[in-house]
Amino acid sequence: MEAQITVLAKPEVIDSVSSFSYRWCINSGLSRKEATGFALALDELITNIILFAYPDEKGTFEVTFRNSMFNVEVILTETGEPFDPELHKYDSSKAVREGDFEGAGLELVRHFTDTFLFLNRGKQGKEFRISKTIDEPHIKELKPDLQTEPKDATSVEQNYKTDIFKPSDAEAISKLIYRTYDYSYTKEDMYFPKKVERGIAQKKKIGVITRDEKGEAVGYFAIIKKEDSNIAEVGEAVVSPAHRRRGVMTRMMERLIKIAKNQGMLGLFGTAIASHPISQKVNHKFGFVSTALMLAKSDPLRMKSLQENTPQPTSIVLDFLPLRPFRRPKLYLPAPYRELLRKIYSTLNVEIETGEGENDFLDNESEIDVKINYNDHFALILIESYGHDFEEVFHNLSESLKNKKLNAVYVDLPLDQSGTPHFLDVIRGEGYLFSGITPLFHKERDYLRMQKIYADMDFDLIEVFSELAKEIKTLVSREYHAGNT
Amino acid sequence: MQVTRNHNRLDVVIERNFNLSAIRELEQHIEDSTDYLIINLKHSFFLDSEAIIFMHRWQQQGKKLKLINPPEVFYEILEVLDLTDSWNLEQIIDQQQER
Repeated sequence: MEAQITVLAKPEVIDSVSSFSYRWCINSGLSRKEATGFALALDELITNIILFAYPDEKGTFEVTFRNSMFNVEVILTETGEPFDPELHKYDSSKAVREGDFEGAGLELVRHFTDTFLFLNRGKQGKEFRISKTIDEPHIKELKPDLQTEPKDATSVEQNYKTDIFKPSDAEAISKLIYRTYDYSYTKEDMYFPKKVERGIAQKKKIGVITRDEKGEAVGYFAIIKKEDSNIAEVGEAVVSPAHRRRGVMTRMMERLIKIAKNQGMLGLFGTAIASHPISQKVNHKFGFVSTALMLAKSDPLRMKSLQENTPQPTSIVLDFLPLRPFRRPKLYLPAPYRELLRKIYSTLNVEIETGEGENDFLDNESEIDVKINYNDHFALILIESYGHDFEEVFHNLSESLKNKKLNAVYVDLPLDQSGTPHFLDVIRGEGYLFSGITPLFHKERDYLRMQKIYADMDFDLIEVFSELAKEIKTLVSREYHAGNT
Repeated sequence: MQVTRNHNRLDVVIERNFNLSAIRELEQHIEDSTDYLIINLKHSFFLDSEAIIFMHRWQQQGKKLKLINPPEVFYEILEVLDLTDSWNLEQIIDQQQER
């Protein structure tokens, strides 16, 4: 969820904005103590902006509040006088001796938040981002006696009951995840019943739970609605080992697709891990088409059963399933990837009309958003439109995201903008390589996804299933190795 | 902000958070002769670094300060800024049962 306000650079506004932040944090799941600290951090940043970016107290700045099931984030965007927080270090002895408190506010910002980032947007000003992880009790804290189920467990043949899940099923779902996967399930929030409950109650997750004849939860499958487009991720699936190969997963997937269609969704997508092909095979069976390979999308998997981590950050194959016909505007496919992009659309069974790239309809300012996933250590630069400032703004943003402990930065370029083929060269020049297509991903528009990887990748450890995914992998690998030689 | 003047002493009750905005308002009530400031923070969720700087400099001028019911986070801020030892908290704090 997101809320945005434009604020006058005057001291009188500080309290109102930080009070809103406090309520936003509480409603997102932070404790009162954490919400107070976060509101204080925001107060410090706004004070800094008023005192140093707009010393004459004339001007406005933007405050964007975001929350997810994992964290709360606030973004401050301003175009005032230049300021780099890295250059203002707090020195307590100078403060005590000389009353020089330079950097004190920023010291508090760092203390009361989990991440504090500064992004330079060039002519579009600066961004300060703070975030705080929502901390809830883990299922093992709530149920210390809970045991994992052996992988070779079996149960007697029986009838299963599959229903749409409710918030009250949250604890049963977390227990099922733990019993099945121990600590190795990639979506960590699933171990926290409160987070699961909030996700269901806020309708961010929709899906089904399957119970056996004793009423024990043995299967769970959810789709997670995308906030900025009418599609959803087939994001979370589990079947208890004792109940596998009984059609439980198939039954749940069929039900989910039906639910998504009934809700008028345009498509479903899955992010299948590429260290093994199992999830990709399941997606393929239900008609999903591989459209992108995203390298290093999350940290190495923690495989407790193997007593070690997977040896490199986890890459994923993006699989997409169109649910109903959707007419696209004219698309501009960049020449280097045209053939493969056409093939992806053709496999998706989507008819497209294409145009030649031009860039003579530029806006004054580019519209670019940055989304940072603090949990999985990646960022997404989302280009909505190109302006005359594009090269400078993109370069500054890309540079700002370096050394931010990210495994990867992805860029989504709108395929319905005639500037995309032209500006692709700029993006490749910054070291980005092909990833694929993200169909209908933002505001029901199609995007070309590019990626910049900050980790060493061994492509022999990336296993893809479909023929199309293999072609995508070949191209990604070629560009990766060309850039690393 | 509720303000009561008693000779050189100024008693204030801050009705929001103690920050830049509150300091700007408070400064309008301080006169040259004011040398004792009693600040009641029972309504404040937090105070920020501007408030800390204001109070630190006030004390450095040899003037007296009393804080009534500061929020919990006040002590954490002093720790983070490494000021706990340099502030005479026993003398400054008046913890009443009002919060």
